[in-house]
Amino acid sequence: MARAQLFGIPVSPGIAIGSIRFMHDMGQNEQRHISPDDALQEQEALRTAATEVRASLAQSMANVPEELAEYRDVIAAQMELARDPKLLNAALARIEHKCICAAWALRHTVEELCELFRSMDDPYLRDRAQDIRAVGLRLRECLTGRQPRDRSQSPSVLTAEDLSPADVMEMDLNGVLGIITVEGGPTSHTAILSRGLHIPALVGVTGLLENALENETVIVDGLSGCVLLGPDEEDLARYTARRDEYALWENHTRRNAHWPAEMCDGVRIRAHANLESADELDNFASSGADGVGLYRTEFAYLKGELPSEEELFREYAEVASRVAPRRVVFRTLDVGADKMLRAQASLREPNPALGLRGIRFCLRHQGIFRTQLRALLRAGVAGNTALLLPMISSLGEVQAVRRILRELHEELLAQNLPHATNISLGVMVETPAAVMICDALARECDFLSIGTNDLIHYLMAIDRNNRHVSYLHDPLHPAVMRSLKRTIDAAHREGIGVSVCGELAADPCGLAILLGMGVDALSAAPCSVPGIKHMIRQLNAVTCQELAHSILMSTDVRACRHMAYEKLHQSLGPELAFHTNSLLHQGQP
Amino acid sequence: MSAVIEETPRGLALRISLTLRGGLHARPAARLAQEAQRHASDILLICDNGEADAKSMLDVLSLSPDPDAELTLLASGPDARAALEALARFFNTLQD
Repeated sequence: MARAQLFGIPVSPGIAIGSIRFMHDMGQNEQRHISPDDALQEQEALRTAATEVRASLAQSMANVPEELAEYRDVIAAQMELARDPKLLNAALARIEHKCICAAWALRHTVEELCELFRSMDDPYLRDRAQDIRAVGLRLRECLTGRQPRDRSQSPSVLTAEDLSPADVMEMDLNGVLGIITVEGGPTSHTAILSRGLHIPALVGVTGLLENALENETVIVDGLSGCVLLGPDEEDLARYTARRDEYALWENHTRRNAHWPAEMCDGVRIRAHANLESADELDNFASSGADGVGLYRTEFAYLKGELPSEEELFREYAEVASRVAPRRVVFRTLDVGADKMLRAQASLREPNPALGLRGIRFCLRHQGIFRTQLRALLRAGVAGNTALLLPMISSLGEVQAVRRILRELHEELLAQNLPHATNISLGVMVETPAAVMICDALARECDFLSIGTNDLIHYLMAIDRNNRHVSYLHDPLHPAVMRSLKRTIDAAHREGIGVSVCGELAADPCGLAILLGMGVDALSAAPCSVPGIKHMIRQLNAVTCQELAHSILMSTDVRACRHMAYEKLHQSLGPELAFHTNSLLHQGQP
Repeated sequence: MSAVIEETPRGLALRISLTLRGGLHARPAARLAQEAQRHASDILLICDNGEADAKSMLDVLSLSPDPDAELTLLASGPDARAALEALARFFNTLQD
């Protein structure tokens, strides 16, 4: 048995075995009372630390490579934070009033400020808490007097409260086998970085700093999401074997990523990648994807200022031309729920997920929408592109977009700007209303795309941020299964294709069921595409159809899950464990 | 554009209408703090939401003025006039 077992959110798959190395040296969280006479000295130490931290941040800013230019803004903001009067004065005052050492006073002040920012309405400001924490960590490290660690030692598992872009820039990642952090989510810097480098990583590991010991052996299971501290011989043997099997399997799927996704009985499926920015095009190229099934366009809008048509055009044209001749499906701006523009945040909607988001926002703020559509139409000549409308709940919305597209077409013609005519237009099916009218939608557009994540939330009437109802998030629920089937059939009756993007497509069980229902294409994160294609090649259409049929006939979710597991195990064997298998192992209430 | 600096009981004041798409986000707020720190005077940023120390990015961020807010900069100290003139130039470059 291992000394302790912790759990976190797996954000990058794989298994790592190594010794723990702390990213930040906290000096055991120094808590020292001082005599009032020493207060001046402690205050001076804090001021010196601030100067030093600013100098070292300036250093790491100089090391930021061109392709990560947005990190520069993050680091510049942190440099400003390191001498922020609100932060420093509060800490300086605390040293004097409470007679405590600088590191302790600083920790309290940082916690207070983080708390303040976390409780803000604006999600953008809420996220600034991570910058404050990162600066606080650096200042404390500097105060404890120890040199920043030599970050290029023997192979190890990097352990930290959180990683900031500046930390990442300073690290030599060659010796890093795995990363575990207390904070962070699937879209944190840690997650993005580790996926890019294929390093197994877990975030949100509670109790990590309290339990982990420097240099102790640790096993990071980036497949199931657990951390084993101080494992015994048996654990080590088991996980070493598992790690090697996984590495072999991953290599194999990567090598064959460019083979077509064809089932044993010859049915061919298109496996697409979901992308968020042009930076991910390299990942796309190595993933072997047959095209981009979902290009999220929100990224350019989250930098604080609205992007201009030219900026957007350059971004879209680059993506379209690099992916060509394969197709890119650009989803038009989908802000709301978790990502918000200022214009939207100022509405202060009590429930943004059910508010003015997606196409509703775009049709209300047509200036923003028209700028984006013009850029998309113009980029259409650079490659093979299509448009996808998010959050559709009525036919009128699609017709309104068609009208705007016709107007823009005339406008662009008059201005003599080259642009795509007759661009293919798709609708995202993610609301129950869209499912109920999918036949009408299918007649009005050129393809359908099912967004399973949101569809499940809206169908089950659950708030994605509410943990009390998260147990209802079950893709195998008959309401979800019947909605998928209904949408796929309606699309096929109208002679158009239907694709599925969302986590369900990357789940082995979800994939098999979708294939059985006759879906034409799937779209998932680039890193999952080789695995998905590999899995498709091992399945056969008839088995999948039988599975889908039995699941659609049943209302017993538990029995369905069991049946799906049995069927998949027969087809995939022990490899089943290498896929993210949230659906099959989902805990029941 | 020449900045109109008025004398008030609390110090020198400068009115600015913010036309920053997206509002005073981290990047402009960091640059504002950087600019303000060059001067010895105390500089306050005032809008409908309240007041903030212009030298503190955290304070400016938590004030979060609306993207089209009317702001007043209030400076008091030895180089108050120079500070306001510099900040007026800064806001002009920001709004381009």
